[in-house]
Amino acid sequence: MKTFLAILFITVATLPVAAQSAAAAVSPGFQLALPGYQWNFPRDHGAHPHFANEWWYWTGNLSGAHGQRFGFELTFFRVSPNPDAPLDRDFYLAHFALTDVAGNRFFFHERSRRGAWGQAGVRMVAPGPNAGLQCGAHSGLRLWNENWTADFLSSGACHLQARWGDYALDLQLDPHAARMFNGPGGLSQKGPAHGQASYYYSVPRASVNGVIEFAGSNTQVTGAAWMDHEFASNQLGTNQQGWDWMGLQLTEAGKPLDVMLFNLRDTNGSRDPYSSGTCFVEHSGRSPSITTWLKASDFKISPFLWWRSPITRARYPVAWTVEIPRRGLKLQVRAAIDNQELRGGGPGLAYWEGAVVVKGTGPGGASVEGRGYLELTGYAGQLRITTAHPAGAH
Amino acid sequence: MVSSSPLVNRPATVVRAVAVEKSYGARERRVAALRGLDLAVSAGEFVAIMGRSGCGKTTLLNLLGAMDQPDRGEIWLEGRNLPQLSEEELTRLRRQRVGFVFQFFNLLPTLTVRENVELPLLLQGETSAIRARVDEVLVAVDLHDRAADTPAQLSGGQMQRVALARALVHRPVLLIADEPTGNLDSISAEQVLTLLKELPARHGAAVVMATHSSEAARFADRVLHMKDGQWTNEAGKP
Amino acid sequence: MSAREWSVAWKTLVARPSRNERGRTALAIVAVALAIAVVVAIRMANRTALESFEQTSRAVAGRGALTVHGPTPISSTLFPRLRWLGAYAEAEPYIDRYAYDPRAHDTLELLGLDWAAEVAHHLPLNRNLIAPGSRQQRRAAVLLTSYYAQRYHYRRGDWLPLVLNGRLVRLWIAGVLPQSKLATAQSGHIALMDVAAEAHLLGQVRGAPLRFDGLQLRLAPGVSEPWLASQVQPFLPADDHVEPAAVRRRQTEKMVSAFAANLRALSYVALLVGAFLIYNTIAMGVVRRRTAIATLRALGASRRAILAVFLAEALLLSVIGGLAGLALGRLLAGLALHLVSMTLNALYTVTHPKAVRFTAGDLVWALILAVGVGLISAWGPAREAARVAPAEGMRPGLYETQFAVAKHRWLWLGLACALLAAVCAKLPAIGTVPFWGFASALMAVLGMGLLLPFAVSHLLRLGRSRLLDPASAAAGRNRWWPLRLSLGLAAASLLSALRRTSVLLAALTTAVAMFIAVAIMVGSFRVTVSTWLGETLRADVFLRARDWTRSNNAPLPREVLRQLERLPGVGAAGEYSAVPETYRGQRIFISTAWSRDLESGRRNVRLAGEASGPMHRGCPLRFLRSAGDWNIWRRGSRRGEVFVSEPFARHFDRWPGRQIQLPTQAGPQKLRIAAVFRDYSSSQGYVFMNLALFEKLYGKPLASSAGLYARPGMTVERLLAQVTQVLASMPGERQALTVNDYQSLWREALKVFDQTFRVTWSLELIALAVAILGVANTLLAVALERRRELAVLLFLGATRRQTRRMLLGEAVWIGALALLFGTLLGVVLAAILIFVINVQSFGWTIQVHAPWTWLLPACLLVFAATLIAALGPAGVAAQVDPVAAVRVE
Repeated sequence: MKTFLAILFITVATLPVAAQSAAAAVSPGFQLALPGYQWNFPRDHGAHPHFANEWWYWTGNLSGAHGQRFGFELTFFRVSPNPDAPLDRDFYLAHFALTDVAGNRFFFHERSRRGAWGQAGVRMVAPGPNAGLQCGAHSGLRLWNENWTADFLSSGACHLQARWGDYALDLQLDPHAARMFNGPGGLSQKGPAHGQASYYYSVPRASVNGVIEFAGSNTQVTGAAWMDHEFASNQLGTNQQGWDWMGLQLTEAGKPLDVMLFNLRDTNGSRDPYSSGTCFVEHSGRSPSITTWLKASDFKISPFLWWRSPITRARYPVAWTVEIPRRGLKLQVRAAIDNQELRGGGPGLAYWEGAVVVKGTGPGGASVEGRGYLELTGYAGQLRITTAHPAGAH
Repeated sequence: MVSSSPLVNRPATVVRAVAVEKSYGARERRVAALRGLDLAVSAGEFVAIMGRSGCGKTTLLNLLGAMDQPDRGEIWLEGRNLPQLSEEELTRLRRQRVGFVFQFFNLLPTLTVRENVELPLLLQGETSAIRARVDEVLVAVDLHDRAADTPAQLSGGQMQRVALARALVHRPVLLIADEPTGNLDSISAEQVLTLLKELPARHGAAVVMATHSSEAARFADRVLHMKDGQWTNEAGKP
Repeated sequence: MSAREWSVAWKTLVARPSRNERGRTALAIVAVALAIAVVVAIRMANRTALESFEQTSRAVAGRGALTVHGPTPISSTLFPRLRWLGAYAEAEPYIDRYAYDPRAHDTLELLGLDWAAEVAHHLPLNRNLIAPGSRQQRRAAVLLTSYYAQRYHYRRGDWLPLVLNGRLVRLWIAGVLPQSKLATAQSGHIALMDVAAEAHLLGQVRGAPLRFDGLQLRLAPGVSEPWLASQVQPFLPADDHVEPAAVRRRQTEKMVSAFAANLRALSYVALLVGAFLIYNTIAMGVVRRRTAIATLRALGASRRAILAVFLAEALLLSVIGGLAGLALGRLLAGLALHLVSMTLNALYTVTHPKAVRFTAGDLVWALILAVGVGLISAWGPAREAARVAPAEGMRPGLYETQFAVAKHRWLWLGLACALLAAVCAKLPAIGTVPFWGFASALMAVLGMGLLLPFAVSHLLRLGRSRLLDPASAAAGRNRWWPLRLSLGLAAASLLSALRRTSVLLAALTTAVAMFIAVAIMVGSFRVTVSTWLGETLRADVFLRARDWTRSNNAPLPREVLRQLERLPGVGAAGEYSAVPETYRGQRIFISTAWSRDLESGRRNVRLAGEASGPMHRGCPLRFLRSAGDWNIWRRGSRRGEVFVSEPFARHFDRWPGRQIQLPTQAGPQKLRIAAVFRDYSSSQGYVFMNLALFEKLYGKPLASSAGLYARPGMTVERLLAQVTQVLASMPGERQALTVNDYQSLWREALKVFDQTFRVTWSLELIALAVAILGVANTLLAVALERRRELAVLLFLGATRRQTRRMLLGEAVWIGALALLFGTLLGVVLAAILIFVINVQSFGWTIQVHAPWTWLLPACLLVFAATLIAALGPAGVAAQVDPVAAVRVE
């Protein structure tokens, strides 16, 4: 579950909307996320027009040659007006954020466009005659929102580019990163109703190298990126206040472990039973990859430090203790810097998304540490979510 | 100038006041200026009224000159009872039959000597033979050569002589003079008083002068004393 | 100067006498207040109108740092090529039009923004605002400001009919804009919709690439505007450009600055008159109190104390007058604003002025003006008061004589001013403001003021001697005598106080002169415009889109026009189009016209209107050198030359034979000017070319107005009836067009003209009122001062009526002299206004036609007003109690 659902809500709230369906209902005609989906890559990296909304989400922790630490986020959202609408009728939102840990600085920018005029979109580009690993050869899938682009090369590598003024990123992601499904068959159930779910997979650890420009100064960086791709047509209930999401890239006793936790909070303060998570150990050598799906009862998280935003006055829990008894993990997750709040379109719509540092212990006291990203929504007012589409966009 | 007119030989009464009373001010503060006075002045007579300031001299002069109306009593000017006349008739009477000389020269500073002297005639609408009359009277006061000057260019005595000329140019029967020499030095005063005695008498006009200078009073034929609106030291009867 | 000295002097010279002269002091204050009120009202009105005028130059201009726009629409096909721009700026398309609300009889700016892009920009929208609707509703959804909705009782969910681009469309009110900067643009006359929806409303085809009015660019921090503009420009159509929002504002400001400057100058006339009056009041006070001053000086008061006291009196008068003027001005400002906006609307574009705003700056300015004028005016008299010698004061006549002598010196000064006026009149304008023209007018006024004492004293002297000379009158009693006496004595009285008389006369003369000058200018202008209208409006029936304004060039719906042309009564039709361009940083218009004889099908024929007669030569323009219009037109058109309007020629100093470079769709083109034509419809520049050239450079034009010519034998009324009937059968279209016949259009145009000058007239009348108040004030002083003399006259046998007439006689003299000199000065000022100020401000040549038919009666009215003003003082004079007055004071 990602931030952009919040943005989705913004979209919906601020634009002329279709008739709102009741909570937990589905906009008619869209495909539902149901068990039994046949995954097909690289095709499924692309867009799924029969689903109402979709996002591609890259975050990651990067470091420079001299120890500079950065976090980045680049996200592309798609919202569809009706099941028959072609991709260029959709609405596209994108986020670009950078964190300079050492300098305690944070940058973000948001952009929204309609697909009708070619300003933003998703395209499967047919491979050209010289398809291959040529530098700059973009064959395969392209996502773009003006000059922010994500290209899936036919090799499987991914090239991210974005710039806004003096802030930019140009990153190449390793093609050989493993995929992780967040739920059986890639289905992530969000609520009790039929189809109240999404299709959700991640590439939790892709090695990255490239360039970050932060406030005008360039740094060559390397690191690890986490990609999420989720698509759905459902609708969250109105009794949800928000969620906390973590994507953690850990090293447990020297071995890589990726953990995704999705903690849904209800308005009455309690934890929604459809909170979920994934633990993933990538295959190495001859051992296959091990995916463990967590239910709400399988993990416990609680915050212990808060930060109040001077602008929205929201109080974000920026440090958590995480316990996953099934895996014997006890972790402390702390924000790399406190102020990583994004304020998106519309008043009161703000959320926190930022780089975190993890330390803890594994089974038998083994040391566990790593980095990741934390997302906190619903702390600056309740979220209300629908999936209807702005009708004005032709 | 004609030395004397036949009128002089007949002691006709020019103006007569009978039991005149006059008060000023609002109800509570009425000040009685005149408390029942009688006076009769004959043609050619020069009467001086003496008394301190505020004793009622000016009030009496104004009544005699048809400038004001008494509260009670009668004033006969040339056989006409003033209180019975309308404002317009009064004005006409005054214009034609009375001449005034004041203490503070009262010449119109915007006009020349000649124009000032012409004024009474102009006001009467007389336009013929004005020049001759004005010349005549200016010669009589010995200021003919200053006819084109403005009052600003004259001395006090000269201005008063012009005033006298103006008062006489229309041959009034009565000349009222209110402290005419009050502002003058003794030489000028003597000049003016001499003229005051001679000129009106030439055509039988009566002169009533108010003064508090006994030297001035010496020029008069008759001296009356007034105190608090009533005659004193002299019988109230003419 | 000790405090004790000061207080004694103050009490003796100002406080006590003022108490006795309450009426006169009050009159002086009222005069000052009125003058300040006018200046303040105009200042506030100007400012408010200019502010809302700036907002008129597109609400959108304030949103982005840069705007991309121009005559060629920005196509959505451009966006894929502009993706790189996303690194430096958010580029969002917009459409910005004016629409006419036929129910409210009001205009709205319909702003189309990209909803999608706005999501990220915190457009203050809230879910609560927007009612859900059907697809049809969503496609026509619009947001109104709460101001507009409340004013015209619109609610969410209502359908709002608007005339947009000449067609009637229906919009669905989806919600109300909350309070925000955008909502205050155009004083609330703004509505928001999606840009694509608006494009479709304007007739663009669904599914095809859309055409936008422009792009607004929000720059990323640190990006330089000029650099980005240079990067974007190569991608744009040749005649579009990138400009910062500020440029737009400056353009409109320049347009209006000339107008505002003129208005400001006019308002200062009233102030000038007020200055004269303050001078007079203080001067008269000094003269009257000379004795007291002399006594005080004899008792030991210093010169400085005397000076200070009179300056303080002036200061007090000014401050009280200034504050009263401020309050009065605040009241008048609303009216002034109404009049100013009418003019702006007529000349430039639609404005929706907000309520007049009162700032601290106004207060400060009013006080500074009042105090400044008061002190400057009172300086002379106060200095004289200080120079009164202790021994003096017993002979008031002496002083006036000194002044009378000085008038010769002033005569030379006056002639020097007149010379300076002539020199200034020849100098060119500074920007669009005819600064030297104003200076010339000021010099003329001052020159007259300095010449007056000399001229007046001679005239009065002559009058006095002739009137009072009994020998010159007929022998015996004369019917005219009382009149001559009054006038003669009045002349003598005026002459004896020459300075006071001259200053009062200067004030009244100035006011009368301005009145006459404006009358001549406006009258000439009106005749010129009327004649020009008669020569250029040739058709019998005129059509134009209801929402057309100069800045919102709504085209006529073509099909309607075609249908009308097919009417049996129509013999020929002409169409006209004008598109806005930028030339040397200013807004100009490129225009063209074409015509067709409907029977023969011949184009560009000579058309003659039934009503306008056969004189027309088929040339749509009247050139400055009007001989052979048609040939000039034909020759120039054949050679591919253009014709420029007179304002264009004057403003940019481009005359026949020279070339101008105009932006076109094919890039900048050099074109030669064939001739200059007269154009009074606007002070903005117009470049006219024939249809072939226009199509080559700008594509096919869309007619914004059309004229139908009646077939021979068909009357205008019948044709109009036919047209109206046809339009009535297309109900939507009917509302979208204004139809005028020749007569009513002429009247409309002149009505607009008259409206334009209403504010000018108001200012003149106020200046006159101030001057006449001054007359009353002065005469009242005379009556009070001359108590003694009037009493003497009464003693001498004058009736009260005669004394009253004396004072009225002074008014007669003043009135007559003011009219005489005022006419002289007025003609001179009219010449400056017509040939210098108007030409330099707006660029129009005006044929002089002095409107004597109504000007003469108006002058007589002014004369009568002067006499009426003197009635009060005359009554006071008649009330003199002679007995009391001759008593020793």
